[in-house]
Amino acid sequence: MRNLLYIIAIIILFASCNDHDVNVFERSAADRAADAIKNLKDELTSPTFGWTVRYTPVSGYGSYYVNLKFNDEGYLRIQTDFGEENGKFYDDTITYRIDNSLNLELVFENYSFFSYLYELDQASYGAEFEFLYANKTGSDLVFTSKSDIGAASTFVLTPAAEDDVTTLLGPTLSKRLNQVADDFVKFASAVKMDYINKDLTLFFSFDPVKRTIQATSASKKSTTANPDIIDFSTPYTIKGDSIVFDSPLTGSFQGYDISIKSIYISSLTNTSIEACGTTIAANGLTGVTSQNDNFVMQTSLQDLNGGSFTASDFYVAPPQNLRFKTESRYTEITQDLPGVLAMQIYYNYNGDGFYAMGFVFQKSDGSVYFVLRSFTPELTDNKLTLTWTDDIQVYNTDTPEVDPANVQKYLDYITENGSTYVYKLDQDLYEFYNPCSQWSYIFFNARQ
Amino acid sequence: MSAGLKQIHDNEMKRKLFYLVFVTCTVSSGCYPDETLDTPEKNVEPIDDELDRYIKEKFTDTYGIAVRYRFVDRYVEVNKRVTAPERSVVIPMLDFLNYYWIDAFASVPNGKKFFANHVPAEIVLIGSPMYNNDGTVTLGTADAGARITLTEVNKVDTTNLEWMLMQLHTIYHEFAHIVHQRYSLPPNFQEISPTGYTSAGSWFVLTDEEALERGFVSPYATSSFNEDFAETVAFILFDKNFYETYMTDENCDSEDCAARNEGRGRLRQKYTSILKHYQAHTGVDLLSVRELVQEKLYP
Repeated sequence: MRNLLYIIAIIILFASCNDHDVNVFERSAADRAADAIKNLKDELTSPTFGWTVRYTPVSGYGSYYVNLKFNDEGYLRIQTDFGEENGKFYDDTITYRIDNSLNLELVFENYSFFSYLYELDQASYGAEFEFLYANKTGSDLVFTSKSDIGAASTFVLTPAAEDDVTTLLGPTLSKRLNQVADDFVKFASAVKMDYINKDLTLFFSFDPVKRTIQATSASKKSTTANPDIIDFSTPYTIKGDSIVFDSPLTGSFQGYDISIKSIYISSLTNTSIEACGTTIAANGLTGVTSQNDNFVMQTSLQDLNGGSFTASDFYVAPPQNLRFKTESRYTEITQDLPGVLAMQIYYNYNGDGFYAMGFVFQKSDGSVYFVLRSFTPELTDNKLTLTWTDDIQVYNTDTPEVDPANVQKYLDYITENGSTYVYKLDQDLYEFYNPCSQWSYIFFNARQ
Repeated sequence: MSAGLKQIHDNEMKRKLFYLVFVTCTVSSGCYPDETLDTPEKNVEPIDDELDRYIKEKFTDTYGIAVRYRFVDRYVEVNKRVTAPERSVVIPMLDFLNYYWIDAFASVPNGKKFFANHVPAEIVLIGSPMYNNDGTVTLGTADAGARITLTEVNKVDTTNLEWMLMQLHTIYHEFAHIVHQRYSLPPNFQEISPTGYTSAGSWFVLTDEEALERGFVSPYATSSFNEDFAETVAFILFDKNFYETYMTDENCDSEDCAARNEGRGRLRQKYTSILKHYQAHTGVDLLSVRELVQEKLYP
């Protein structure tokens, strides 16, 4: 009986040798993978004017119009309006590759605009340069991010119209915004927008890299007294010569009903700012809002929200937060100030009228001491002027290991010419900036 | 059926089953219409890229090194985040490596043969730093003597001594790993400062001075015997002040100073054992390489 079973099994196996059953698919797996890659490559290279992408790397941050042109030789031309790195991402050519793993993968093989965004925040921002092919929807090719952790963002390629590059991309506006942002080399960009036909000034700060804009306050043009503090933030997209807000800015400011969905910039003008006892050349932008109000926008040292730092009485900045032209001078500072732990600001500390600025140190035996200088403050909007009321004092030791003259050097940098301007970077995070010395100190609220 | 009989029966069934499978596989394999091995060659695209031609000519054909500059995610551990280099920095980076690494080794007696026999099969170029999840960055890696990965290539600048020393530190360090992977560590190397090594993942809490007091050229050198070896070789080659910092005792009037000198005593032992090890196994005098490197760095 068992022998009969063996014979039947052998017969069945031999019967399976029919060609039609051995090759379930007409082509091998490798050939089918090659076909899939070729098909996608054919799709990518087919549009005459390439592909338009409205790229949003991270939800809650801004978007970028990008034109992609793939060719058969494996090169990809990327056109953007992203002005960082001296505009090298405006028109760039790299190589691309299509891999076949679990999905078809589109890989941008060299450093590009996408890599720049990927590398932001120690490569944790959430941009990408590897994509998984999802499907073709209508004439669009849909990809998802390969590197996103959690919900993957989508990357939709739409066949470009002939004039997409000129009508959607705004390299001129991008460059102008960077020029305004670079008038002063500091972290917080502050611009004020003066309405031509209204007694109204809106104060903004914006991030031209991640493309977010914050409206911080509003005042009358004629006086900054009684400002409206505004808590508004939105991602934006550059579209041609316009800044298009993802969410409109609406509200009643200084008695005017305002609703701004976008801002059209018509020209860049030369302006100037009085600071440090001199006139500093600056850039201005003229344009019109979506509410049809003409305006002049220019960089500003003024930011009415900066004065809110007085809500706390104690601020701390680690030495790496003391920067010249936004570049950390950590090595120089730690050499000048051996044992430095942090810079401190006491601002009416514990409500007892103690105002002082200086540093806290740790000695080689582990003990902690303070080198501080008392002052009397005068705060106008976000401009802080200090008047020293005493010489530098050492607390908690008779044998400091630091030269007090070196402490004074860093106090002078930030108070030079009585021109310390304070900007709110984030909740409990403030930039103290001196346009004369070009030093920025980033303090956080130590009471939180 | 007794247990013994059942065992015999099961064994018999297994033998027959094996026979059945073996026979049917053997016989049925003859069913395929063509038994010849004519699988088509994988379609290898010809190199027609200017950059690829340069690499093939200068590195692949000359030294047998494959240079990976196009992004391939499997070259990097999954928990590290990097970008590819810019195309424009690849040739300057390779020229830099050629001058300060390959030429420095190949120009000393026995160096050319040593380099040819120990050169890694692959160099992977990374444009950005290699970002780790804990906020640190990795400067470079060497995998089983076959691949060296270099980071921050986008910042290539041969007028920036700080960048150059960082890259040379990395390449000499990683190249030294290949030596101990091939020939083990020098005899008794682990006995020179046996209590100075740090527990896993804690090397970075040490200062440079504390590492020196323990007999190491850097905090990272305390992380393992192998890293100690590679770090010491790298410092011998690239550090202009190697002797003043790590070899020559200070005139002491404090306990800290005495501790540093004690560390230098251990480092002198490591130095001697490493030089002997290279000479014995590779025929290369590391000090001759150092001399060339220093001439190139400080002409």
